[in-house]
Amino acid sequence: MTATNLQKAASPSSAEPIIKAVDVHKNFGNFHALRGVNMSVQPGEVVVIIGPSGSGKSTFIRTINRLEEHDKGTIVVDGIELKDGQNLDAIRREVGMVFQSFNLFPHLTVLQNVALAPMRVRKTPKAQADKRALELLERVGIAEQAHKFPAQLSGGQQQRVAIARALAMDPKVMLFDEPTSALDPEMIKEVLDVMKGLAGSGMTMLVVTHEMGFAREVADRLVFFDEGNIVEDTTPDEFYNNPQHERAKAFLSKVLGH
Amino acid sequence: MPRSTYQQLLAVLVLLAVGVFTFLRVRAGFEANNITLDWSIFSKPSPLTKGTYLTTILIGMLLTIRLALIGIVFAMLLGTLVGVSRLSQNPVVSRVAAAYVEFFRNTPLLVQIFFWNFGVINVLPAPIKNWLFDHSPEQWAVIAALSVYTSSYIAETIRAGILSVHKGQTEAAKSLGLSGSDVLGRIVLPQAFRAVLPPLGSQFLNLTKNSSLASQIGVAELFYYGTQVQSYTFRGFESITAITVAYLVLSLTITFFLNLLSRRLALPGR
Ligand SMILES: Nc1ncnc2c1ncn2[C@@H]1O[C@H](COP(=O)(O)OP(=O)(O)OP(=O)(O)O)[C@@H](O)[C@H]1O
Ligand SMILES: [Mg+2]
Repeated sequence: MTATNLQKAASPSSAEPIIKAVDVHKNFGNFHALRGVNMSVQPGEVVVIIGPSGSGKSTFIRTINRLEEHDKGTIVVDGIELKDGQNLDAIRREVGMVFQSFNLFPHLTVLQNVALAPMRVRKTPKAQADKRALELLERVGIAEQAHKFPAQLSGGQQQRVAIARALAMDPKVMLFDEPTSALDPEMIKEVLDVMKGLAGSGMTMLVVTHEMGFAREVADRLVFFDEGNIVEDTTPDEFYNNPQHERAKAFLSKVLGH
Repeated sequence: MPRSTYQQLLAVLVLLAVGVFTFLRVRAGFEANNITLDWSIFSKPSPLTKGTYLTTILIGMLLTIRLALIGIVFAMLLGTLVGVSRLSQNPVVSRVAAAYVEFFRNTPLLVQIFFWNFGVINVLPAPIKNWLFDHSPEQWAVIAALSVYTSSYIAETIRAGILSVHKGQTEAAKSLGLSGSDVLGRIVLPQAFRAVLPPLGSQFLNLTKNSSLASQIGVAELFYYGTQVQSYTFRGFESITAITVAYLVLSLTITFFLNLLSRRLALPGR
């Protein structure tokens, strides 16, 4: 167990959850993608989500910043319930998201990518937003690339910029959807290291990833999705060493060469 | 020398050969028919405007430039508005935009010019009508027709540009909490414009050349004066050549600026 884990284990989990999803359903046409998902996440918790392709992992984390609207059930993030016409901007300011394909804005420099949202959404003055953006770029280790365009960076560097961009809004929760799946093996570590640092700083994180090493080192919890629902909710080590469900066993052996 | 340089050289030589051949053929044709060319007419005083016939052509060209520039600005504004509306979530908005595109794209421009000049202008409220009558109403009718007509094509181009922007861009922008207008104005449209700059440029060129239809309601632009020069001087070939060269100069200038713009907007690294 890392220091972070110890620290978190010591803090009681009775605090108000920062994310609370109850009986969340989502349909795409007549395809039932989420089938009554329940999940509570405490502030500072790092939860890794794994599961077979098409099991609803992406769909679920996308409902948390309302890139997808759920059809049934309730989701409360930091005390704000997600529903029609309600505080969408407020939620999105609280929740940062990092995508598999980075999705940096190609027509803006790295610095502009990071400083844009604080300036437009939080009305931070430009000088201050730029200064903070540089600090964040420093933190993810690419301050010297601040004036380049995204296409001039490697995949790993782009993903680190994307993390800095999300952090610039000072979110309380960070969502990651397979942040290293599009990366060459030699770049995966640099991104995971940034994420580990973030976890160590106490950020609440929901991470869809198949990086078992990352999960075991950093995550407090691991949830296993299958066919639109959570079928295991345990610790990474417990899941790794002693998976309960047949599907989880099959998944481990297939995907992770277990 | 790199291969592309050879190819360019070859292309220039072929063009030159074709040019010389055509020139000789045309000259032989003129001689066979006893036609002599007289370019000196352009330095003779023009009864149409002040100065010479050349001045007349240049005055016409100036109005063409004016029509084209104002037209391009309005066509872009309208076209962007309609193109964006076409993709609106609101079905009423998107259908109205679609109807706009189909209506103005599928009726002849000349008909639209007449429609604005003889129809719309007469039913405008009195103050606007009075203002227009002091500010060459035919010109404004032409500008309206050119802008609206071209905007229907630009709208489709912009729509294609917006659709070409990766969905992840909108999602990333939204997930940062950017407002709908910021997502569109700061993230989607700048990328969409870049993607469709070449076809947009074609529309600018079309608009410029289409402005020659203004002559049909007596707007004294380049084509109007060019044909006037022809009927005053009985110099058909010379007049048409002058008109052609003038339009070419305009079009190539626009192309030059478009290339400049596209180089300015090019993103490093891709
Ligand atoms: N916009 C959509 N329209 C229709 N079906 C969708 C849409 N988004 C997702 N789905 C379907 O919902 C199911 C769950 O998709 P989701 O992307 O959440 O899976 P996932 O667990 O993230 O899989 P992967 O590991 O491949 O990313 C899939 O069957 C997918 O085809
Ligand atoms: Mg997914």
